Amino acid sequence: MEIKGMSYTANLRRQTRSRLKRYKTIYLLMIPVVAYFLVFSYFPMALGVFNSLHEIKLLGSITWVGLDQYRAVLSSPVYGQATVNTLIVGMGTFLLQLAWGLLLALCITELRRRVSRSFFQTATYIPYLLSWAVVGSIWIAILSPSGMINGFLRMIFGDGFRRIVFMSERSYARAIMIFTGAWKTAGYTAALFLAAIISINPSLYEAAAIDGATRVEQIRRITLPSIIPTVKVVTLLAVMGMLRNFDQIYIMSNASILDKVRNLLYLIYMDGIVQFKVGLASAAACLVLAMTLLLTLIVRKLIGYDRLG
Amino acid sequence: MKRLMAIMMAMAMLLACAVSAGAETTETTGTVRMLVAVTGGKDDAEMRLFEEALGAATNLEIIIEKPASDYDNVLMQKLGAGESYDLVYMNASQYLNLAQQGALTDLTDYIAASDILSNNVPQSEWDDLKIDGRIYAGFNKRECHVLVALNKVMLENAGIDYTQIEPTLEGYYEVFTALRAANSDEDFYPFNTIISQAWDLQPWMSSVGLKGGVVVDESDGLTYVPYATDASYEVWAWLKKLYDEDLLDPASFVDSTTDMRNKMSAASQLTAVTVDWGAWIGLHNANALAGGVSEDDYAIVAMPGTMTPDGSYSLRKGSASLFAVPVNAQNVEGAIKVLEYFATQEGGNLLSLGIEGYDYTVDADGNVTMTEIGLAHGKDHGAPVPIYKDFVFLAGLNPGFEESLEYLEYASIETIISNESDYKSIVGKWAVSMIRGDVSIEEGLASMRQELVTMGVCEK
Repeated sequence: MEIKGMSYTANLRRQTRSRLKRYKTIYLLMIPVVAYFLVFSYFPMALGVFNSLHEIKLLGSITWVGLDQYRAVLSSPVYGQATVNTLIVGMGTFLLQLAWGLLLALCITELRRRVSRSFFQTATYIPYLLSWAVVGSIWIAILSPSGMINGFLRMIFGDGFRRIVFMSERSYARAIMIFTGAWKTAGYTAALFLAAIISINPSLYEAAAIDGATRVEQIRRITLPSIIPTVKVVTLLAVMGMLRNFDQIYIMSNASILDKVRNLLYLIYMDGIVQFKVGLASAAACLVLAMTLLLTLIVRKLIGYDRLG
Repeated sequence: MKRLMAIMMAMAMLLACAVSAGAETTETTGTVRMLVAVTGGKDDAEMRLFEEALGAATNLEIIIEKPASDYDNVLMQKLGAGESYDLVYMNASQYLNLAQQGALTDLTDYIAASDILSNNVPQSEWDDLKIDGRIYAGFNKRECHVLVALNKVMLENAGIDYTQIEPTLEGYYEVFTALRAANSDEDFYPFNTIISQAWDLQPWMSSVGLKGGVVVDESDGLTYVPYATDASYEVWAWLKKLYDEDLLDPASFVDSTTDMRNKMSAASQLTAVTVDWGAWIGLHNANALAGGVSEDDYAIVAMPGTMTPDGSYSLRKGSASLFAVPVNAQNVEGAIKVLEYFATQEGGNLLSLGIEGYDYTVDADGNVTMTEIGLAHGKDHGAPVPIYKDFVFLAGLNPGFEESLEYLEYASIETIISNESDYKSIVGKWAVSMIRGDVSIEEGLASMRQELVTMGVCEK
């Protein structure tokens, strides 16, 4: 409430003091959370920006280099290819995971028995809980020359069939990463969609059934439009994580397919951790951060995220 | 009275504390903090025993940190955070990178002043570590070599005496053909190798007189990669032939060393010939014996592969595994003392056999007997072959390993480069493409050369 005769600044100061006094307990409770983010998120980020502008030696002096390391990253064909790989695998994984998760959710909701529903929901969620060390090993074994896929193909085509080393085929590399990435996360996506589907008013389906709508029409006209806000949330979450995939590539790649799947974070790891080029890796990491922010803002605008209804 | 009792009790307690403190305190000449990857005990309890043993031998307080995993990451974080260690374990590539950054103490003068380090370690080993004439690390162990490992029993079943194998590409081709004919298991392949990392091709490349890694061409002073030259054509063509005729395991394109060793092990025997460290030849045999498999059913032997054009052999010695002293070390003299100890018989015993009384016992006649724990630890506490040049293996060597050491004279290291990972991935990628027939060998070699130059691995 403004006081007449008092300047704008004085009024603002007075209002701020009053608000602080009124909500002081809440602000006090927020301090640990803010401190946590400052110490473990924003300070490292600031340090990363600082490192990106300097040539860093692990022990010893640091040298200001300005934007040289950014120029090195932007002009590097290896980083360029890694960016392409990141976007292709990331986008492909997201689209497949979205479709797969949605299909799973729709199928699970059609199950009548609660026990079956719980079982399939749990079974499809388990891969999400496993680390890439486990998931990667599983799929490498399945795709190996003596693995399940080759065994199945030999059953179909006979003993004359020459085994395929899928993990060394460049033409399959990205598809394998997309498929295994979607396989791991589809259950999680399905769980999010399930929560949204369950909250739809059942009377809508009853009314539609009375009007003669088939089950497919009900899904198309009621279920899908109702879960659009959840789709937007899932999309935004996926975009924010799209450029940060490391574990999968580190575990599953090899020399044969590396330049088809090597992504930005893998390169940052090799430069920063293996070759101790801390400044260069920090510059690349800052660029990844900027790209993530830009991508998130663009996608947020495109999907109309702020219009959640 | 009560007050008197209280005073007497307090005095008794103080006296007890003083006595126990006096009894526990051992006078040391300083503390040495070590960051290690493979050295020391296999678990926390044994690590404490290892620290005590090393401390007692050097009259130092030893504190060892051994990350459970991801050593490269931990090393980078610890050094980057400015944590002070007196000795840090590292591989040759890390050694080169850190020395170039000025992060390591120059040890050249310390080594020259030390009788033990100068005389107990072969000069050739020090020469391999020199960067512009200076040395920035000491040794964790003596590096051994990679050579051809053969399943002797399978060879005998195929009618082959391994000592009579013709040391040429054609000779080994005949071996693989015979092995294939003698084994109808569809999952069995005579030969398995780690193509994707260009890790173990030296025994075959020696047939055309080529050395692995990056080499300086003396005619123009430029560096190049021999495996990428047209002179290597014959070997790549031979490997392609093995693949086309189902003699080379197609999983060689993606297998890790763990996969290869599992296939070679007594438990699976899905391959008969690999290329591996000499120590692993011994380990295969030791593991089989420990599992109750007799030598009549499973035995791995070592051969040096193909002969060079001038009638010798050419094998690859492992790149050094080192202990360096960071520039922010608190006790450089203590670190040197530890390095000196590692280069003695006693130090070598600790690094190989382990702790006396825990991993092994010594009777009145000086005979060494491994305990059950010691056997399970495979006589390896960081250095299965210690750096001391006259080291005596008190408990003997695993069967097959001693035989492999006969060929150590033919081994040499590859030049240390900072971007070794780029070298391996580029050579490995084009190797797979050529062997599988995705590209012709001529195209593959040309592309390999071009990419190696583009990525800064070599100059031509």
